[in-house]
Amino acid sequence: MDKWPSSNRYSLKAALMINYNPVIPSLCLPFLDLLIEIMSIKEKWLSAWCIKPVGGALVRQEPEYILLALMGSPLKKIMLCSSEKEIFNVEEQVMVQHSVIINNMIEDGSYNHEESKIPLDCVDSKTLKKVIDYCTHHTHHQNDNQEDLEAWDAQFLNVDSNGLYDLLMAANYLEIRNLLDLIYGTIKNMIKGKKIDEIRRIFNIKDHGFTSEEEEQNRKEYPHFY
Amino acid sequence: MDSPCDSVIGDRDLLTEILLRLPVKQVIQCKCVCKKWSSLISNTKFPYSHTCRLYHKYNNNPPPTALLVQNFADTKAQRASIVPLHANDNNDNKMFFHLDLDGCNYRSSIMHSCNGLLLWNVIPTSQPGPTSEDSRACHFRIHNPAMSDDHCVYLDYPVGDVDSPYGDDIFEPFELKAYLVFEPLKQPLSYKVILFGQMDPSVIYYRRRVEFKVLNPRIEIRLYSSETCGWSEVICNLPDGLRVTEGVYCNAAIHWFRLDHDNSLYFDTNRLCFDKLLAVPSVDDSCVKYFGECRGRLHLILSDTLEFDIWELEEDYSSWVARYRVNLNRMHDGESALWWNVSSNPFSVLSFVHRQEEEEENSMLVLFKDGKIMSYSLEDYGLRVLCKVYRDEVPRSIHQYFETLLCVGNS
Repeated sequence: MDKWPSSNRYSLKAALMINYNPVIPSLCLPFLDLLIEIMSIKEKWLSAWCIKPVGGALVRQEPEYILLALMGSPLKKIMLCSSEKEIFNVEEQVMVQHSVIINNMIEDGSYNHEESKIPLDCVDSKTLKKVIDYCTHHTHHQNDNQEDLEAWDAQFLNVDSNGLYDLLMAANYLEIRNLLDLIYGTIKNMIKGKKIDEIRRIFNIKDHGFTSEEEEQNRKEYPHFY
Repeated sequence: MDSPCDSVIGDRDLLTEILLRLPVKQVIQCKCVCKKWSSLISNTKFPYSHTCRLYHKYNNNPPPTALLVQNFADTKAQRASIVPLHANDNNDNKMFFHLDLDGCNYRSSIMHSCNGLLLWNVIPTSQPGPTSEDSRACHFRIHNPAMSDDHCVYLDYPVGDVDSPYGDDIFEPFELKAYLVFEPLKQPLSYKVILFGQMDPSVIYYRRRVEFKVLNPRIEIRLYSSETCGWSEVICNLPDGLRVTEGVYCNAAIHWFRLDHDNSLYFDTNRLCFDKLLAVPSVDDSCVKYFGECRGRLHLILSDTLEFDIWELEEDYSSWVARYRVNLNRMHDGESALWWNVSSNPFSVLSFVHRQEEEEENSMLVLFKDGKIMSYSLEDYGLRVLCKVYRDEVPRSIHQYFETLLCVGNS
């Protein structure tokens, strides 16, 4: 065992208590917060402790995790359940940053971390995985430069059109603003510069619903578009 | 079970979101794709949402996509030429509508283009026969050329002042300038038309061909408001010696530059009064090449050589700021540099289009020389021919235009 800083007697006692007594899991983090507040512990002393909450107990770990823990449990995970009943574990911070719906759910307290899963019945596993992929990448790489992010986005959207529409509906349901804008931009480029027959084909419109007079009128008025 | 594509297209909200992000031309194309899309676009809220989004993107001042050019001298051709400003190789930006107004019975001219709507002055050339549908006297038309003509507003000329000592019962000015005031972001949609009529000629000829210059011609200002659906006369502080000449409309005010030697003034359409406009220091008449407006700012171009100075008036009208210095000697046509071995400037400036740094396209000058309308980019000095007019005179009537989905007429 490393040498504990002697000036922090209270902290030492607390640390011993934590390590040797069974403590109710939900009290661990607040307890740590309280310690920090009372003692104004500096970074290097934290590194001496290297304590991290794992599964309810406090365990020695790397200093970065302590600091991260102090900033608000980013490694807390939530469970998302696809329409095919497959469960995905995702970092809470990642989903909260991107999805307005999930953010609201967590904020109003209706989600219990230990037990709840968020059911997403209208999103299938394949699409959900892709959405999680997008959110995770954008959270972890948010400080990358613009070109790299755009290149990754372009690669990400390199899917067939059915996959694209599935993504659109999922992003719409979860209210992920930047993914939505990205997909709408892609669809806009799909329409740009195309003739009307091609647009009908792209969107699988078999019956345009115009009478033959209306169709002829349109063709006469806007020959460019056909 | 619906395919994902059908689910997306079938969802009204998702489809609306997709269509809201398209440029106007594509939206009009989508109107022709299928009946469902057409009814969604024709829904009264859609054009307004689309316009709000577009204006928001450009900070309330969308850039023009085309110039409308009309030569008054050309009496045969009723058409105005539409000159797209961004001609791409694949002709993606070709204009998809024409500006034809009812053939031979009328002589029509574009008076003003404001936020996507056009104001036409329509004068019958001969007595219309009893069978012709549209047997109107002189009138104005307001319409959105990108949408079909069903939404056209017809405005008869205002009646003359029957009680006036001059005995006008018909409004027949010698010089007429008309402006359309249309602010699309205000709901409900409304518009105003302002007429400036010079009721006396500028010059009177006497018997022995002696010219008498009318010093203070009688000016009448009429206002039509869509809210009251009627014309009214505007009484205000008319400056002395005002003549009705081509003015520049910007931010709900009409500006005239150097009406007489050192007076620039403007007419505010909200307060309905005249005000003085700040003069540019030390300006010589001969070197004013262009006075116009782009995206809510007034610009003035001065030069007497191939070097241009472009000045911009601040938003609060407090001062003129020198924005660019353009040297037309630095010019290339995409392949090789172009040289002009004339010392005086052979170019006429038709328009100055200002783009912000974030936008893809560059700021450009639209120039005219030898029957060709060309655009000169201020970033890369490239000169590109936009259109050939085949006339040597500088086109007089130029209007900036961009498409909109809004219409003011009743459907």
